[in-house]
Amino acid sequence: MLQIASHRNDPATRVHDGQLFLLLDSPEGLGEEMALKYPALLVNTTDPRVADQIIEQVRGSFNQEVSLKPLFANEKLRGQLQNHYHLDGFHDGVHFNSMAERSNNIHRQLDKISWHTNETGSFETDTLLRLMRYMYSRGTDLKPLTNRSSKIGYIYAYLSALTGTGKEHELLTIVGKGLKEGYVTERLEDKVHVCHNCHGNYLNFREVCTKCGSIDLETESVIHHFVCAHVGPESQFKKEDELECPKCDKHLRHIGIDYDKPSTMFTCKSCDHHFQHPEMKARCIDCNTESSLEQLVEYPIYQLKLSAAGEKIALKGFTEHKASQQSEPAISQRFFEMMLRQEGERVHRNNGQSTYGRLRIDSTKVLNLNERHRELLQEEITRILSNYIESADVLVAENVQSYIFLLPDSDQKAAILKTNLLKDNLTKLLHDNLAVSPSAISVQLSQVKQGSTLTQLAHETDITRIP
Amino acid sequence: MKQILPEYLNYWHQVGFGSLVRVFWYFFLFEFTRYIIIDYLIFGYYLITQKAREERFKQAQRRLRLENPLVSIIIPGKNEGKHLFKLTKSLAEQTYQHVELIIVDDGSDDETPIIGKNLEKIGLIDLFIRNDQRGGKASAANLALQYTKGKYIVHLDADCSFDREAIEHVLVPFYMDEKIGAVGGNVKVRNYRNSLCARLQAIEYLKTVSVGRIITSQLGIYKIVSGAFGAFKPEILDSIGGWDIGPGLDGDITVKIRKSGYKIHFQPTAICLTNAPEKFKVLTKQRLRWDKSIIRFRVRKHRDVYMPTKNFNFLNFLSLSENVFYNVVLDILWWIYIIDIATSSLDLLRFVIPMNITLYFVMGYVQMGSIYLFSERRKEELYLWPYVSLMTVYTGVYLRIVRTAAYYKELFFKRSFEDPWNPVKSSSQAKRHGL
Repeated sequence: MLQIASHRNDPATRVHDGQLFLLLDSPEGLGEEMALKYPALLVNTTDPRVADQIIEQVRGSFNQEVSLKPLFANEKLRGQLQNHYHLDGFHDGVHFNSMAERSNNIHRQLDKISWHTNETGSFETDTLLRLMRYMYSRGTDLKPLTNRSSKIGYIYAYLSALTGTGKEHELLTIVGKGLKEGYVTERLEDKVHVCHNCHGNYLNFREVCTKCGSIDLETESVIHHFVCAHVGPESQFKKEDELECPKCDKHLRHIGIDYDKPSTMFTCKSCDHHFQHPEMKARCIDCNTESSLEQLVEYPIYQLKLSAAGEKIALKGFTEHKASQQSEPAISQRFFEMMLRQEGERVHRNNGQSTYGRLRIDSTKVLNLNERHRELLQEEITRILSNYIESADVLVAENVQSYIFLLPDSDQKAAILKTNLLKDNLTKLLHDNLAVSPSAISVQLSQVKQGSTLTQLAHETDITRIP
Repeated sequence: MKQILPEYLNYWHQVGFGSLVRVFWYFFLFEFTRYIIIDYLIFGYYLITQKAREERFKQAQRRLRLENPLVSIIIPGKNEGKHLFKLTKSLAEQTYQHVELIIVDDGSDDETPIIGKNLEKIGLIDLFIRNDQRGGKASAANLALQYTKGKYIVHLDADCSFDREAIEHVLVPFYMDEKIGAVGGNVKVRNYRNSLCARLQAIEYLKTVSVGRIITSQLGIYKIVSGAFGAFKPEILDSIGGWDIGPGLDGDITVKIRKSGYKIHFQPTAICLTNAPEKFKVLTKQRLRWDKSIIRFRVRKHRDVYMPTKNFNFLNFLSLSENVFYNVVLDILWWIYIIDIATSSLDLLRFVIPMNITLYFVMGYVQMGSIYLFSERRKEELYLWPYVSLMTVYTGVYLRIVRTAAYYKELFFKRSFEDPWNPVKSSSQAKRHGL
């Protein structure tokens, strides 16, 4: 018999075939500690919207162990869930054997993983590790699945849950890193083209005028009259229902004998420009950006298989994790906010003290750099800042002028000391290289609380102005 | 040799100038008069009027620059993709820049469509038109004409390159005289160092194009705006229906413009360089095609020029007559002359042939002197001087035989309509309609 426990009540302790399931009724209050006690989780609602939220919460959990727990839902929800890809299966409410077996298999694999290693790192490394552990524990390749609600038209089971809707392209960067490092091997399934502005692939392709970009185009065949070599648009030859050459007045009777149509010309009705090869443009339905085909971003979509190297990492983790890894570019602000939210939950439960903040450089000298130099400067600043923060700290470059950081288990005093150190080193770099005034650098700090957001930081005082 | 030379000199000394003229009447009557006397007379006139002409040119150039009209450059052709990028670079160097570049790909079966589309995409070509089915050069030029927007049309061949001021100079004559309907550029051979065949053509081009056309232009009988480089007024092209089926369509359209009452001008400073055939086999094919077109167009199609109808124009008559006379009639006369010499002076051939060679040899260099006087590339062209000695054989024998063969084929068999230069679908229709 399957034993289950509701997470609202005291947890059940009965075991069946070594499997104990925690029932999840709602997304609120899913405690990491409680979830960690149970080998598997079961969505216990018939409301698809709530079920989707629960799935999102579990899979997106800051805690990897929770995130990778076997997760099932009732068969009744099949076809109604947006996030059903992230489940490990369904049960029909009567027969639980197959679910228990599946759960057992997953759990057996998860048990082999060394969770103790502190793997909190960049969004990329963390997600990549989760991905490898998911593939390892499920013993499966990761297939891309077509999905209209995904901005790139594809999702990956579990992986897509980590960023949520609208940021799927970031996952492709992570997949790319996994491929580059040899942790996963690939088989090309498809290529998608997405808007360069918002990464959406809901695109409307149109032929436009090469001169003015208008879509108001007219096409017309060109006629070549063999006898006199006159060539012109078909309308020049039209005389009621007949074709008559405007040059020699001869009647054109037979295509291939009297005349042929060697080409077609486009005429723009807006600017009267003639051309034969209209430009193809794509308008993004999501953000209305118009792109030429060259501007569209092409992503390869792979089916992924865990390599031997990847399996090793999945089991042991990245042993050489360093804070400097956080300088890699794909750490998103959104992921930071997710971590901030999780940290808020954590400190709320544990009565802990964590701090987060933003360091800003308000200087036109930085702004006036060209794009390439701005990128290089951003990389350099991130590298320097990473050297002065702990391995558990999280640093994200929003842009060349703004850097956000999360300092877990650091109270305000410790955080001020740490950020002053950051500021001093940064001041030296910017002053020596760009003659940026020290006053251009500001740091805002705030204590992490339940519900903390980045927006709240804007209201905090600049600690560098505090005497 | 010690005996022959004194005997040879003694013979011509004894028979006197009268007998020399009698034997070489053909040379003195036609060739010496036309290519030496007239050339030097015109050069003298050219020299006298140089200052006034230059001043007139400068004023017209100022007017052109002031107006700065859009000029449409059209380049029809097949399999010319390999030349297009270089051509756009050559045009980018031009002093006149207000141009639109229209290329028509006449059914190329190489990479021309890809090259053309790419050049259009990156903005080096304004309009690239691809015809999937080949229609012939005339139809390709006419198609380009449909989409031109310029005040003047410049027709080029894709394998040409240009002096920096070539486009500007070819346009200036339109501002010198409103009655000028077309201007021919000065086409010279670029690859003359590559082979003997190309070198001989380079000398020939200098004689017939660079100098020959200055002379005919001065006389008002200039009759061919080269397809490689010529400028036209679009309204005139429209009124005459553009180009008709070739081969020889450049000469044909020039006659059509003349017949419409417009003047044709040759601009020697508008210089274009082209590649001439480097092998005699290729050259023979080219010349057979060109020479056939004289019969097809100048003798047959435009025979009305010789008729005293109400549209009779003396200069048009003279222009075509001179062309037909010096090419067709004299070619026939030459063979008569050979027979005359062979029959009347057979025993004296040992004196006649060396003298004939001497006369043409000397004339070649005297003529080269006039080229030297007219030329703007004197130093470079000195390279060609040693080869002038071979021109007697090249023009006097080789080209004459090719020409005779072409006339024979065209006069009796209308072979130009079978030339693969045009697609069969067009040629067969043109032949059927007697065009």
